[in-house]
Amino acid sequence: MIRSVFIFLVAVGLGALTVSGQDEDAAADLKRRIRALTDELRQRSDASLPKIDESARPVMRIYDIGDLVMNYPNSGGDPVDLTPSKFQFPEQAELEEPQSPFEVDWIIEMLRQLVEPAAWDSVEYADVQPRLGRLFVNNIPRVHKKIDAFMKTLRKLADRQLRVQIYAVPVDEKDAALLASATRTLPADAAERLLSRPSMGSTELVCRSNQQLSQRVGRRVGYLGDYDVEIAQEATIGDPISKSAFSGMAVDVRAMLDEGGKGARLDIELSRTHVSEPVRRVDTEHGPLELPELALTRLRTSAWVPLDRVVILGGSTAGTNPCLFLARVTRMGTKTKTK
Amino acid sequence: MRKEAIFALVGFLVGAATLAGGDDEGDLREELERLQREAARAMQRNWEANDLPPSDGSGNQVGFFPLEDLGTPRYDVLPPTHDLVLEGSESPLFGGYAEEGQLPFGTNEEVMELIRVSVDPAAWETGIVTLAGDSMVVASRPSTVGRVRTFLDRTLRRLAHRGVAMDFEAVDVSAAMGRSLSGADAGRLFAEARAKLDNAISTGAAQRVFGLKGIGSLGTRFVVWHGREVAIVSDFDVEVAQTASTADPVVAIVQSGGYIATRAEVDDSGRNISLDLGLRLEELLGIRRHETRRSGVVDLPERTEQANRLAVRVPNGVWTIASSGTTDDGKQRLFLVRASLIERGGDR
Repeated sequence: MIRSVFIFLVAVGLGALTVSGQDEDAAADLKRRIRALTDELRQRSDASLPKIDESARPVMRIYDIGDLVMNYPNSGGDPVDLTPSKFQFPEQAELEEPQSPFEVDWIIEMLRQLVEPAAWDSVEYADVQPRLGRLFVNNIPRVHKKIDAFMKTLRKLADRQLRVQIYAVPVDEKDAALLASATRTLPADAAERLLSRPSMGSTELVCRSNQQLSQRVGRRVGYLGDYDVEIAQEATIGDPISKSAFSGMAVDVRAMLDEGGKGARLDIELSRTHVSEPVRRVDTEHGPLELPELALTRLRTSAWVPLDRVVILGGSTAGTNPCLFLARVTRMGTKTKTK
Repeated sequence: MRKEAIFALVGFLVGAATLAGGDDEGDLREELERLQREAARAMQRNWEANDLPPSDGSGNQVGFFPLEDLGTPRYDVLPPTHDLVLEGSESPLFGGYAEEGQLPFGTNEEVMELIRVSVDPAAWETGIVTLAGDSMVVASRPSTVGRVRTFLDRTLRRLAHRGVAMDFEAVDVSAAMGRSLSGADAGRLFAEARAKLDNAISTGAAQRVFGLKGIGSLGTRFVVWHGREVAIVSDFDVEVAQTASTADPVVAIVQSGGYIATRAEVDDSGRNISLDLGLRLEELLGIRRHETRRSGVVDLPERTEQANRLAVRVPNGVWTIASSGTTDDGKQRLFLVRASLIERGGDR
C-alpha cells in the first residue's frame, strides 16, 4: 500500500513536469488525452475489480412497528393527575448526583489505546500517572503533541453548552391561522411579532448538554388562607393561618445536543401561574378569609427542536387568557473573548 | 501490480492536469475533479473488494460520538423536580411519575452492539468501540468511522427524534352542522370541511371555546394543561361545646380548563398516526353563594365537564373529530384533534 502511494506521488510529479513546458496547443491536446484516458481508466478499473454479487450482500432495512406494538389503555384512570395545587410554592429541585464528563481511569486507558499505542510499550520509561487532577505523562515529544490533540477533542465534547430561552406569550383569535399552519417552528416574522407582545413571563438558563436544571422566576403572594379553630367549654377562637401563592414561571429542563441534526432534544416541564388580584375576601365569624384565584398553564414534553429557531413547545391557543410557550435553544460557542 | 498501475496513471493525470493552463481552465478543472472522484471511487471499490487497508495509509481513525440524546432515558417525560407534591401525599400535582424511562435504542452498550452488527461487522475484529461518559469512541478504518457517523446521524437519530405536533380544539357548532361534519369522511375534516368550519367560526355561527397545542417525541407521552384554580369555602366544620359553638370554614379548590395528554406512534408509511389520547375540558360556569343560618357563606360551584380517553388512528395532519357531546343549550361540542408528524430536520 505504501508503495502504491509512493508511485502515486511520483506520478503526480512526473505529470506536472511533463506539462510545465508545453504551450496552449499542447495543453488542449493534453485535455483531449485526459478525457480519453479517463474513459479508459474507468473501463480498466471496473474490469480489474472483482464483481460483487449485490443480491448476496446483507442489506439492513428498518421497519417502523411502533404503531403495532404500542399499548392502547382504553380503561384505567386519567393520564393526568390534576390534584389542585393549593397554591403552594414549588418544592426545591432535587437534581441528580453530579457527574464528570470523563473519568480519570478512562482518560488514561484511552491515551494508551488510542494515542500511539505502540509508543507506550516501546519507549523506555513511558508512563502516565494521575495526581491532583493532573496527568503526569512521560513520553516522546511526538506523542505529547498527539495527547494535546486528544485532550482538545475531549474538551470540545465536555464544553458543549446550550442556552435555553422560554417565553410565555399571549395569543388571540387573530393568531388562529398562524397557529393552525405552524407545527413546530415559527416563521421569523411571526416569532418576532409574538415575542414583541407584553410578556406573560420568560425564563432563560444555560446548561451543559445533558445537564438537568431547574429555575423559578416569580413572586409569592401572601394571603390569609385559613383559621385553625379551637373550642373550649365556653369560648372559641380562630387562629389565622397565612399562606402564599406562587405567581410566575417554573422550568425544569434537560437539553441534549444533537450536533449532526443541528438541534437538541429538550425534556422539559413548564409551569406558568398567575394570581388574580385583588384576592377575594369573605367574612367568617373568626375574621376575613382570602380565597385566591390562580391561572395556570402547564406543559410536560420531550421533543427535538432545531437550534436558533423559535419553536412552539405548546400551550393554549383559545379560551380564557390563552398562553403559549415558545422556546429558543442556542449553542454557546467555546471561544473566549479577551481584550 | 494492476492496482499500482492505476495509482500511477491517476497520479500522472492529476499532476498533468494541475499544471495544464489555458483558456479553457474551468473545463479542465471540472474534468480533473471528475477524474479525482472517479479515482477515489475506484480505490474505494478496490479496498472493499479486497479488504485492503485505508488508501491514505494513515491506519485507524478515531471518532468521538456524543450519545446523550440517544442514551438518556425518555421518561413520561421528565421526572419532575418541582413536584408541587401536596403535604402528606405522594401524588405529584401535574402528571405522574408514570412509566419507566424509555431508551429508544437501549442503553449505550446496546447502541454499541447495534453498531457492531449493523456497520461493517468484520471491522470490529480489529477496531475499537468503547464508551466515554455519554460519548462513544470508535477507532477503526476511516470508512468505518464515517459509516458509524452516518448510521448514528441519519438512521438512529432520524428515528429517535421524530416528533408529533398535536392540536386540540373544542368547538361549539349547531346540531345540524355537527351532523354534517361527522357524517362526511367519518369525522375527518379535510381541507374543504375545515375551511367550512373556520368560516363558521369567523362569522359567529360556531365558537372555538378552547384550544391547546404541543409538540413531543413519538412514543413518549406529553401533556399540556391550561386552566384556573379558584379557592372556595366549600363547607363548615361545626364544633359544639357546652356553652359555645363555632364553624371552622373548609377551603377547597375548584379547577376549570382542559388538557391534552397523548402518546403517538406512526405507521410505516408515515400517513397514519396512532394516538393514545386523553382529552378533558371543564368550564366553571359560576359560583353560587349560599348564606347559612349561623356559619357564613358557602360557595357552590357549577361546572360543565367533557372528558375522553381514546385510542384512535388519525391521518397525518388532518383535523379529526375525536368525540362530541351535546351542551345544555342544544349545541354540539366537538373535540377536534390533529396530529402532524414532524421529522428531525423538517424545519429547514
